[in-house]
Amino acid sequence: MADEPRKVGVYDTDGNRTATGGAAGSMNWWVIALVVLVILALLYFFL
Amino acid sequence: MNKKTIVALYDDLSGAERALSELEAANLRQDFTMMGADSAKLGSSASLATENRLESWRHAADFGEDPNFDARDRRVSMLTGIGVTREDADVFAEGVRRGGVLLVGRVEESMCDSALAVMQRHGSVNIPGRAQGYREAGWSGYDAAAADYDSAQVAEERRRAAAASLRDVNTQGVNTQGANPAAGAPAATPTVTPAATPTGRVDVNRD
Repeated sequence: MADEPRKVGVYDTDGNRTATGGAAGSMNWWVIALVVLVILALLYFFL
Repeated sequence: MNKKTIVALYDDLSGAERALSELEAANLRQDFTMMGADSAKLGSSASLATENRLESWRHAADFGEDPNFDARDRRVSMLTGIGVTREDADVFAEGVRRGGVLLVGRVEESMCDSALAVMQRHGSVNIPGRAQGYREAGWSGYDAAAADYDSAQVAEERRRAAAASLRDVNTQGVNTQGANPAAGAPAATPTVTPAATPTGRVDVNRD
């Protein structure tokens, strides 16, 4: 199979597919925020 | 409260009914409706009791749409209207055209995981896998002008789905205890391996 098995489709009402299991969809924001914080911290220490 | 739309495709009515019964036990039935039950019961001798039961399943939830949403030319628009992506809506509508049954629900986000677990437990179809299977057979998208499958085509489609499901199980080495991907489908084809149970059903637990 080319794609991950997905046996139930979960969608927001605006048509965006949500990852099965719930929390994964919002996790991306935390990852992005964390990366930005790390970059800012590195800039603070090295500049 | 924030609601999610959740949709599962089943190859036959029995899987969808079992899922809906369990959702009823979890007090979630009012959030669900069924699409495709009419074509899915093709080939079975539906009693009056079955007819009445199907009628109640169909109207379990009121989504406020046209009551005739099950019509061929409204399947995709009904699904996209409640948030389903166009790509998935095409696959779901094609599944219904080929004799499958959809469970469509709008549930509170807090209840989403519970509903998902129930729906998966009763043999819902792997959506990307099914889409790939359709495409490999030359399908390019749902065509509302194409007629629904007749009973012979539905039976053949279910045999094909059961065989494909067994191939997946055998190639992926999944534990064969639990859910029932081809429940109610006709006996498996000669491609069934010795891993199958005597009834031709294979229980899959992907948890």
